[in-house]
Amino acid sequence: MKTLVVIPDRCVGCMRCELYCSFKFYKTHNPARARIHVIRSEPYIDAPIICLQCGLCISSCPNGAISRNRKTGAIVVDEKKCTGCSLCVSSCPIGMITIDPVTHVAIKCDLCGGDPECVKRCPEGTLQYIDAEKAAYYRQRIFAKLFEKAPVAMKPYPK
Amino acid sequence: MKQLFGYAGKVLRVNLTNNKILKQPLREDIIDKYIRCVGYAARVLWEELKPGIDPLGPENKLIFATGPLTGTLCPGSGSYKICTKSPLTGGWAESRSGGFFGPKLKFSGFDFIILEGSAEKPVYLWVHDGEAEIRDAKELWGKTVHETTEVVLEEIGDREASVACIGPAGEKLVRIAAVMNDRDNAAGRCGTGAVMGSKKIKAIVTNGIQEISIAQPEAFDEAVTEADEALKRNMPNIHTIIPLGTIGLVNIYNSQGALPTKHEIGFLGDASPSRP
Repeated sequence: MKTLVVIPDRCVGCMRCELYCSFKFYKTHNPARARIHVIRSEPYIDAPIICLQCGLCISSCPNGAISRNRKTGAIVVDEKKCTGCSLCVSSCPIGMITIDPVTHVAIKCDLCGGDPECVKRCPEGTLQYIDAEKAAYYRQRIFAKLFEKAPVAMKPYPK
Repeated sequence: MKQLFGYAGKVLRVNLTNNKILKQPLREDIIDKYIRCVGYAARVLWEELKPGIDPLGPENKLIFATGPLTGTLCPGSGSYKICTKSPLTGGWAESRSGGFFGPKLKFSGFDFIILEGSAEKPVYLWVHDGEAEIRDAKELWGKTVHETTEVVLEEIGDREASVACIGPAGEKLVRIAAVMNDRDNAAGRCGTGAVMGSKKIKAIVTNGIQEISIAQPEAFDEAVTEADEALKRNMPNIHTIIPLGTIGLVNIYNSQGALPTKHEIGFLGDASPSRP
């Protein structure tokens, strides 16, 4: 089983993963329709945020539109069943399930059916699709960052 | 109107004298002939500016221009250009800058912003999702670029937006003043900041969720992949340039004789940038 991980200190903030994501699914360029997002916070920290495929959104869906693909391990949304009620958006702790601004249904990373486009296209090797044994180590490193003393105060979203 | 692939399809024309905002479609007679962003802007300025006007007067126009590739996957396409009559040279002014202002302008639904006239009081422009509004910038006047960016982002409530603004130099009509976007990217040539200052417009803020469509996605994808590979192949030392940014190119330019020193007639013996 493979897992998508991110090595954040490599990210240069080119945002091409966002563009390639929307290009792969809709053949247009629109970061708002991407299923991966890069958050830039000052002074210049670029953090790619990916779906962890944890499955918290499955039980939040009243229509049973969200399920796990056994083959890839990805959580997928059935766009035909989705009504766009946004309950899954409320349930996601990291905001990686969003509502498409055009079709108004929930969209999220489905790992491109086991061959993620963003991993192939990342010029810096920030995004990696690797074996789960190795992936755990990277996730631990990222989580360990939380315990470092932040050099600058975090700026919350404005009022 | 037929769908224009690559373009957002609209031009935002803001008259600052009477606070009038016009949303016009792109002129198809121009874009077929002048594909580049600068080509369109040059044609518009050629038609609309009278000869002999003062670059810092209200008759001058300031155009923020993007091209059909801006905001797409094409490598090196994240730029925009500012075109006007230059207060520094009195001639054609064309100033390029990177950052995210260009793509976000396209995502906001406009290809070009044409600023006309001159405001009485300091203002700034908030462009988003096919809409635009002129806002009061009394508090911002006199602030530096970083302070302005911070205050504007706080005021509009969208931290992902991109701000192009001028600092005190532009306000005081210094003829080499730059327009700065995303804090540290500069459209530094030709004194475009002074023109913005003469129009009393402190900042332009863009963001949006509009789309940029491609006519032939498969062919475009192939071309982009090919360009990416060509870039990697032909710039093996790109990783020595990235940490230094543009400064990393100084020595390379100098060795090619392309570094504009001594009025573009001489070389520097050793132009290696001093490392911090």
